[in-house]
Amino acid sequence: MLLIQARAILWAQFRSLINFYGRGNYGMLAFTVTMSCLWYGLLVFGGVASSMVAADARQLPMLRRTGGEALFFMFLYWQVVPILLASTGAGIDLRRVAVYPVSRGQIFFLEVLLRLTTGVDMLILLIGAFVGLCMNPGVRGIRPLVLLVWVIFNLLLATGLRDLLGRLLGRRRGREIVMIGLVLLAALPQMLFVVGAPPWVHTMRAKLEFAWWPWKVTARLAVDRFQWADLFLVFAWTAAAAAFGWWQLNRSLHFDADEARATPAGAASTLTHRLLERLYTIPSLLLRDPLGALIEKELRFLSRAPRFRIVFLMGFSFGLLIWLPLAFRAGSDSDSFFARNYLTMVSAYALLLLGEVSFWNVFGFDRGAALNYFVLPVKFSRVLIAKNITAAVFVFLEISVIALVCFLLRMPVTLGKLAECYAVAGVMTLLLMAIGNLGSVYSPRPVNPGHSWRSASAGRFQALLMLIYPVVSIPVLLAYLARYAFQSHWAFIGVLAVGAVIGVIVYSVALDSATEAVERRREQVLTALSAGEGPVTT
Amino acid sequence: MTDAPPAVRVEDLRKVYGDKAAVDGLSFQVPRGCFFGFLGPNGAGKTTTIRMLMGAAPPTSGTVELLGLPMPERGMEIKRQIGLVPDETLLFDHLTGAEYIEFVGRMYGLDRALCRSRARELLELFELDAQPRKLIAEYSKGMRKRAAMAAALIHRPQLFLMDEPFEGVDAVGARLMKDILLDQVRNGATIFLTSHVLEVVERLCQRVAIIAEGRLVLEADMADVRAGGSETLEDAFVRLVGAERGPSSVLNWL
Repeated sequence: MLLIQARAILWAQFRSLINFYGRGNYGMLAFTVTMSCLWYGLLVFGGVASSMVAADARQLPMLRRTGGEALFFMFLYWQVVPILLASTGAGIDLRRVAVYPVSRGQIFFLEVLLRLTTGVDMLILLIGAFVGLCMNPGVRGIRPLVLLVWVIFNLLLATGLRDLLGRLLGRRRGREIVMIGLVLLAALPQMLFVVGAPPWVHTMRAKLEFAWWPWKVTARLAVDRFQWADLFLVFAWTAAAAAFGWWQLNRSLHFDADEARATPAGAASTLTHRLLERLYTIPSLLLRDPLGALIEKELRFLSRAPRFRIVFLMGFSFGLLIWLPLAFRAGSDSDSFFARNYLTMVSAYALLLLGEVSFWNVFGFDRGAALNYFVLPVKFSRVLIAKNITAAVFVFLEISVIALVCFLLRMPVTLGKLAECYAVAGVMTLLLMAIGNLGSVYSPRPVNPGHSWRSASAGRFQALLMLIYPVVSIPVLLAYLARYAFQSHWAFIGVLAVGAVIGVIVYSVALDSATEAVERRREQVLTALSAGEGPVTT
Repeated sequence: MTDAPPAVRVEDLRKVYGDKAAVDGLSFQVPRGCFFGFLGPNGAGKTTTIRMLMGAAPPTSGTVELLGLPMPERGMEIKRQIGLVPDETLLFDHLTGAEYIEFVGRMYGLDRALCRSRARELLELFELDAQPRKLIAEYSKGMRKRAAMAAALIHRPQLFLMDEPFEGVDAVGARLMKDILLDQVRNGATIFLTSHVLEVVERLCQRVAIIAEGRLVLEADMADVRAGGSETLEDAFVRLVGAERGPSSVLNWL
C-alpha cells in the first residue's frame, strides 16, 4: 500500500506539472523548452567541467582552498530556488494528501524526494564533481561518497525550509512580507557588486568564518585529510536537518491557514482602518455617482489585493535599490544625468511595475466584478475612466512616496524635480492607459489578485509592451532632448506640453475605441475571464 | 442502525479563529447506517466542523471519534474507511477529473488498473467524461462536486463526510447523487452531510443537527423535527436560528 501511495503521489505531482505548463500557449511552451534546454545544457557543461577539474590531481590544492566556498554557493542555490518556486502553485500540496490514509513518515519521505526536482541544477554539478573525485588518484577510497550525504543534508533542509515558508505565506500579510523580502534580497547582490560591500559585510563575513559549517566539513572530508570529527559533524548536520525537516512538516500538518489568516476582532476599529475609510470616500465627495462609487470601489479593491500591495511596495523599495548603483556608483560624477534625474527614472520604473496591476489588464485583475459592469446601467467608458483615475491616483501616490524616501535618504530632491517627475509621469501614464484600455479589451487574461508572482498581462501583450514602452517614452525623451539642445527649461516644458496634448487626444480616441470594442467583444471578454484559477463570479 | 459505536461522536469540540470561536463546544452523535444532515446558516461553523472530522483542520479542543476510533490517534484506520466530499479548497486543481479520481483511489491503496477502470465508470456515471482533458480548475462548481463525489465512492467507504455535496449540481446530477447515497445507506454506510438545501435534507435524512454561531441548537430525528406534520424542516430551522424577520418588517420601502 505504501508503495502504491508513494507512486500515486509522485505521478500526481508529475501530471500536475505537465498540466500546468503544458496547457498554455504553444509559442510560450516552445520558448520555455528551448530556454530549459539551454540552461540544462550549460549545467551539463558545468558538470563535465567540474568533473575534469576534480579528476586532476594537480588541482587538489585549489580544491582544498575553494571547495568549501563552492559547496556554500551550492547550498545557497539549493535552499533559495525551492523558496522561489514555492509560490508558483504548480505542484500538488502534500498537506492536502493528509486527509487520506497516508502516514506522516511517508509524506515526509515524499517531500524530501520531491525536493530533488528543485535541486536538479546543483545535482548535475555535484554528479560531475563526484565522478571527477572518484577518478582523482589523489583522493583516496570512498571519500567522494560524502557528497551523497551532502545531497541528503540539502534535501532535508530544503524540505524544512519549504514547509516553514509555506506557513509564513499562509499567514495574514505573510505573503506580502515574504515576497518583498525575496525581491529586496534579489536586488542586493547587484547593488553590492556595483557599489561594493560596506565594511560591516566584511566584518560579518569574518565573524561567520567557522570551520565546522557543513560545507566546510564536507569539502574537507572529500578532498583534504580525513578526520573522525569531520565525519561525525557531517552526520550530525544531516541529522539536525532531518530533525528540522520533520519538525517543520509536523507543524505544517497541524497548521490551519484559515486560523492564521483570521482577522483579529478589534481590527475593524483601529485608527488606520478609520483613516482608510475616510480616504476611500474622498472620490465620492468630489465626483458624482456612478464615477465616484466606481473609483471608491476600485480604491478599496486595489488596496486590499495582495498582489497590488506588493507591486506598490516594490516601486519605492526594489525600484530605488536597482537604480541606485547606476546613479550613485562609487567614484562616479554626482552631477551625472542619472544622478540628476534619479527620481524621474525610479518613478518611470515604478510606473512600469504598476502598469502590470493597474492598467494593462483592468478586467483580468478584477474579473469577479467584470460581469457586473456588463449588467449594471453604467456606461462602459465610465468604468474605464474610473479604473484609470484610480490607477493615476496610485501612480502619483507612488511617486510621492518615492520622493519622500529619497528625501529621507538625503538624495537630491527639489520641488522643481518633483514637479518635473509628476509631469513626465502624467504624460506617460496618459499614453500607457490609452494602450492599456485597448489591451484590456482585446487581450483580457484572468489573474488571481491573491497570487503575487505570475504576470498579469497576456504573453503576446507582454511582447508588445517591449515595443510600446519606447514609443510611449518618445514625447518625454524629446522634451529632455529639447532641454539639452536649447539649454532651456521652457523648451522642456513646451515639448512636454505638446506630449500631454497628444496624450489627451490618444487617450480619448482609445477610450472611444475600447468602449465600442467591449460591447462587440462582450462574449469573448467574459469567456476569457471565466477561465483559469482565482475568485470569479461570472 | 446497529448497536456498534456511533459512526461519528463529537464531544465538546471547539475551533477558535483569532478571537472568534467558529465552533464552540459542539457535542453530537451520528448512529451507524444513518443519513445525517448537519445544518446551519452561513458562517455557522458547518465547514469548519466537517474539516475537523476529516482531519483537515486540527480542533482547538474537544474529542472526535469516527467509527468508534479516536481521531487523530487512530487516524490512519479511520481514513481508510471514510469517503470525502471536501469543500473546494481540498481538490487538486491541476489534475483532470479522471486523474483526480484515480489518484484518490490509489491513496486508498487500490490497484492502479482497478482505479482506472472504476474512474472511467464513475466519470461516465457522473457525466464528466465528455471533456477528458479538462482540469478540475476549469470545472464549474457543480462539476467539481460531482468529481469529488465520484472520488469519494471509489473505495466503497463505510462513512461519508460530505460538505455541501449538492451545491451547484443540476437537478439530474442531484437526483443521481441522492439515489447513490440512499443505496449506500441501504447497504449499511453512514452519511454525514452539510447542506443548505433543506428540502433535500428533509427528504433524505433520518436525523439532523442544526448549529448556529458554532453552537448546537438542535439534534433530533427528522420525524420529531416535523412535530407531527405541523412544521417543516425549514420552519424549524428558521425558528431555531432566530431569523424569523420578514423583509417587509424591516425594508418598508421595498
